[in-house]
Amino acid sequence: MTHLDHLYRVAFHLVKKKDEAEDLVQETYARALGSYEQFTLGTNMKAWLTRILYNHFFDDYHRRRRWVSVEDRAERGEEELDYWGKVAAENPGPESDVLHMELNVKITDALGKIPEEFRVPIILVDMGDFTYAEAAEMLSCPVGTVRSRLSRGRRLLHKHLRGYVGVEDEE
Amino acid sequence: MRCEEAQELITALVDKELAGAEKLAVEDHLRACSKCQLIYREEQALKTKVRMVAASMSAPAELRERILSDPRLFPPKAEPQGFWHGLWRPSRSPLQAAFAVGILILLVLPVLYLMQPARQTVGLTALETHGKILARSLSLVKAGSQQEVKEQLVRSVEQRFAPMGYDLSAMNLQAVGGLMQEVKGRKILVTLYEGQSPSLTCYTFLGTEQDAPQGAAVFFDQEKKINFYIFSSGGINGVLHREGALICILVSRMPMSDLLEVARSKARSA
Repeated sequence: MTHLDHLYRVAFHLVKKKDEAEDLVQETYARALGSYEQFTLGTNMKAWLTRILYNHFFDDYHRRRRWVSVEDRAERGEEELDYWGKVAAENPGPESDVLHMELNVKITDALGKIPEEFRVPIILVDMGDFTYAEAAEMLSCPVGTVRSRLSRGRRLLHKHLRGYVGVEDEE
Repeated sequence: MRCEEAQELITALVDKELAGAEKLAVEDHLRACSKCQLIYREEQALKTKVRMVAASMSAPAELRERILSDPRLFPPKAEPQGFWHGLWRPSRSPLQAAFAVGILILLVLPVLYLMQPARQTVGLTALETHGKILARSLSLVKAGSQQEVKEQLVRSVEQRFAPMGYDLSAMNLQAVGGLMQEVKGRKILVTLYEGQSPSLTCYTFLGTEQDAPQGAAVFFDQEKKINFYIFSSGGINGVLHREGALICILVSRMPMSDLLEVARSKARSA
């Protein structure tokens, strides 16, 4: 019963702006209503709506090639982006950061810094509670790709959040 | 197993997406490698935190209002709109708002789906109405100009929507009259065009593509990104398409190819 909140969360972390996220969600409902005959009763409506939202995001918010990966770029002989080194340089640690920043603000901010190809699986799997198979279907990519992007995305996110999220939180 | 090989498997283990030999292998590795064990626990902690952040974020109240005032989602009908606005007032609890969304998604859409057979009659009704108009068994509001016809029809639906207007002068057809027809409680605006070509009636109403008769052929216009539904009965042809919340059906005895061309040439791109 919370599809609106779910869709807004996904949209917000995709586009990173409140107004654009609202536009995206509103358009998602309009498109869903316009194509409800394509929805099969008894199937996962949350996944169906999320797929509509993501497709709209992909079509209208950026028209770059889907899933242009670090590996793909490397294969084409282009310079591989040194995300890890960049993150380390940008994130010297809590001592020099805003000390009293709310953790959720910090996580939202950190997510926004992660390249889309790594961010989207985190949004879908960690925030949306989708399985790898569901996320793979939405993103039109293999399940293995979701797994590898998620793994790298989490490592990247963890580096951004160094000092804010650790095993001590669980203890 | 090397630590580098374990990275992705640890992620999958955290997400409970691992089984069989891979699961056993990474669990063995974790028992023997304190470094990867720490990574596993860190990833678990991170996932927990991200989930907490997600759970704390709700859709803004103004987004709910925007959705409710979107005519594509909620055609301006008095009673349903009041009901929804009542449910969605910002002063209501988030639970009630969530309930309303749930109702929209879980009840309205399936109901619309199940209502298909009843709504499919509108397309066929348009064909029947066209026959009655040609037989002069239905009285029309006559007017001197297309604008007058339009104004009278708009008033008949309390200005909630207007009939789609077509300039068919190139086909030597002029709007000569109209009527407001009620089908199962839905108001349909009908405009009659007459002249030297076969007469044409245009039906405008709030609806969906499901108002096309069952079995109607679908023609997708690549350029305008619109589906056109074509159907016939007793030598009378019909073409239906949607523009936003409005459905337009053109009906005539002219050849289907000509009628479809009229609809395509006048329809606004999606």
